[in-house]
Amino acid sequence: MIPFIQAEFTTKNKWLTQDDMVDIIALSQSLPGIIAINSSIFIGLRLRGLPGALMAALGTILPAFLSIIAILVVLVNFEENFYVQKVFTGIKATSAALILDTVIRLVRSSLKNRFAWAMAAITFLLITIFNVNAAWGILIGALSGWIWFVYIKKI
Amino acid sequence: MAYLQLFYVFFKVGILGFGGGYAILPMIYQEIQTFGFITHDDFSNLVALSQVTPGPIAINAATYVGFKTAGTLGATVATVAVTLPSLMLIVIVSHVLSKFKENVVIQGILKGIRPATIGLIGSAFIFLGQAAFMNSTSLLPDAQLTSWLGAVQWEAVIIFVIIFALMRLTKLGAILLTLVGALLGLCLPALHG
Repeated sequence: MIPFIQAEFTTKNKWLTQDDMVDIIALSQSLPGIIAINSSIFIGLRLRGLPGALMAALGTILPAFLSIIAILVVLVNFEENFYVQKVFTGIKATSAALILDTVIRLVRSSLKNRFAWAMAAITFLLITIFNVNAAWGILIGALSGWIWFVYIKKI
Repeated sequence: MAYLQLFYVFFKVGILGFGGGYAILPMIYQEIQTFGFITHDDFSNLVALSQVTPGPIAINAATYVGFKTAGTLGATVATVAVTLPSLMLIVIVSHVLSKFKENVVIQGILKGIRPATIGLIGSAFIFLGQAAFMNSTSLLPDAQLTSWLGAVQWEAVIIFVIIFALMRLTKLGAILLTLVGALLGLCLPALHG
């Protein structure tokens, strides 16, 4: 999605420079919230202020929102259908494969030191084995990062 | 009350949902347990639908859970709630942009959150795997191994292996792979009668 956003705003429409774009994406990734939503709000705000931000958010939300509602409205009538269920079996299995692939890629690219390995392993185990709320995973990560990188291993 | 609950849950996801879409899935999975009539099957359905519809997974998920819980208004409430934190934070942060980027504490916090989200995506795989590969919606911890094996949907496991192999061996993108997966889902049962 990010390369798409980048092309749309810098090369195609020339609304922003490459540097602006790099800044916006870096910040969108480091703020809470969904990256695609964050970056669209950022771009809207930069170009047209608060109304721009609202419109950009709406633009990102609507296709997802409308397509899910449309599918759910139609699906209600076919939920028990044998073929629909089989198609879903296939898509679910594919989603699982796609997520596993994402995990493998992220582990290879981002877990570069013991701290990162420990953090990923701890959140994974807490959530899956001990059924701790995933929100705590984020909070524990934030707190550990603060202590580790500010007081122990200074960056 | 359903609206309030929807708002609360998805606002929380909006605040704590760092990183890409997959990282928010375990949060959604755990939260929907508190909604009476959203099942674990719904969870895997919504992940599957997110794969074939445009837009961020978080929005798809909010719309799905909101709609199933309280219709179109519910979908709207959940979607607004998941977006609102981003909107508020970015309006604030854009004023203190340079300070934000250079702050050591914020840098440290972000460096801690990043690997944690990888753990989150890992657990998303476990949760989705349970829903995608097992027949029963809830796994009993004391279930016998034989009944556990009996609950495995072997078709799904086979499709998973084929897709994973295709992913490694070819350069097919997510959309094409999903299409192949859907077709396999249709054809496999026909093959073994």
